[in-house]
Amino acid sequence: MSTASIAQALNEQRGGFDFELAKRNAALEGAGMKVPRATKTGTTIVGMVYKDGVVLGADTRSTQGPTVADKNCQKIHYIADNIWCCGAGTAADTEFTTALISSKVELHRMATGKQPRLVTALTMLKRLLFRYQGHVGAALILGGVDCNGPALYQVYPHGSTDYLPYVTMGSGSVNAMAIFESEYKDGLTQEEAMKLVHKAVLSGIFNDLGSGSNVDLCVITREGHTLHRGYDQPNPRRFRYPGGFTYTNGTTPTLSSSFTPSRTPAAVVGGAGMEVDA
Amino acid sequence: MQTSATSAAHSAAQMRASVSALKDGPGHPVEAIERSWRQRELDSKLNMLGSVYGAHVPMRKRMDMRIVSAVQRLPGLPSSNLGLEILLNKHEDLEFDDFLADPAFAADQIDVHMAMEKRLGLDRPLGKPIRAVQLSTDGSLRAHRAAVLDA
Repeated sequence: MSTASIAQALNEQRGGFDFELAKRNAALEGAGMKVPRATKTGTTIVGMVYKDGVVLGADTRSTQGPTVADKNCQKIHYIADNIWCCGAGTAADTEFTTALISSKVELHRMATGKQPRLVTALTMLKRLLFRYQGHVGAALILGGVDCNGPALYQVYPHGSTDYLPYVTMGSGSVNAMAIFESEYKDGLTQEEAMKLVHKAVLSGIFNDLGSGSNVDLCVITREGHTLHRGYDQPNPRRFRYPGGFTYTNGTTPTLSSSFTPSRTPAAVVGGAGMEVDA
Repeated sequence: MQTSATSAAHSAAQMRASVSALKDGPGHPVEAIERSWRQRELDSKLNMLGSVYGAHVPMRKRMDMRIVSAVQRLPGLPSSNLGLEILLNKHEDLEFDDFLADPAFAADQIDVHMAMEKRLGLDRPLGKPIRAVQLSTDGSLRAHRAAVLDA
């Protein structure tokens, strides 16, 4: 007995991704048209386990090719009160993946009446990412504290995961990992952990072109979480003209102008004029 | 995106030229994943149940699911699939298709009365054979609409 009819009943009249223009766009791109690309978070995201919790850290730059698209975006996303998630990769994908998982985890929490566990969120994430075979471009660091204590997971865009005491991801991951590899110790205090994570993110900000602007931190302990948005702002805008700029009309001179009608208007010879109501 | 007048005219020409190529070209890879993954997920789940508990469990489950999935609404109206979702434990879960492109808000919706008239052959001249509405097999909403209205 086949499951095709059951799957068909589930697929009938469902929403989801719209592929209506995919073929047209592929044909246009094949014919040499430049298509707009998604905004990526060229990123440094890090996470570290310490004595009684987890510290997550991220820079705040998002890029679109060589352009900085946002100087102060938030890459530390909420999953649950005891679970947070740093995202690198395609900005929209990390944003929506974490939002969807957050909703799923909340539904699961309401159904079970228990504090969500990290492995629950992790399994949901890796199943979703594996299903889309890397087309959802989200590289994540999942951290938090549950009944098994503090834990930190690394999630790759294709759905593979790692369980580690300190992790880094994104284009600045090598720079941040250099700091962790040289200075990480087991059983650090919260203050020492925040200092080290801060230093690792700064290393990404100053040495990786895709990372920049400010440092965000999120500290999760058994008691709760603290999000330090703009924990450090090492790149303030240096020069600002007081009062801003105002320009009068015509400041930019018009060098030349021309008007070309799209085609010669047809001339009406004879005939009665159109009747128009008074 | 290029914005100069010449490149805009160039892209317009490309757009016209490439329209004919659209029907045969391969679709988006994610489209293929979306089309097949529900059945693959269901099959692997039932396979696992069979390995752990014996063949009778997936057989019974498949029977239950076929019974509840056979109950559908009038043509053109979506079924909530409540019974099926409970059996699959999906009623308390959230997927992309629960909030992206919700068919309830689609611009071109199927008129139930029209679909019903088609099914009963009331819109045809007398003497023409009555054909039952054949629902789409590839599962896409667009194909579903086309099938309901063409039948």
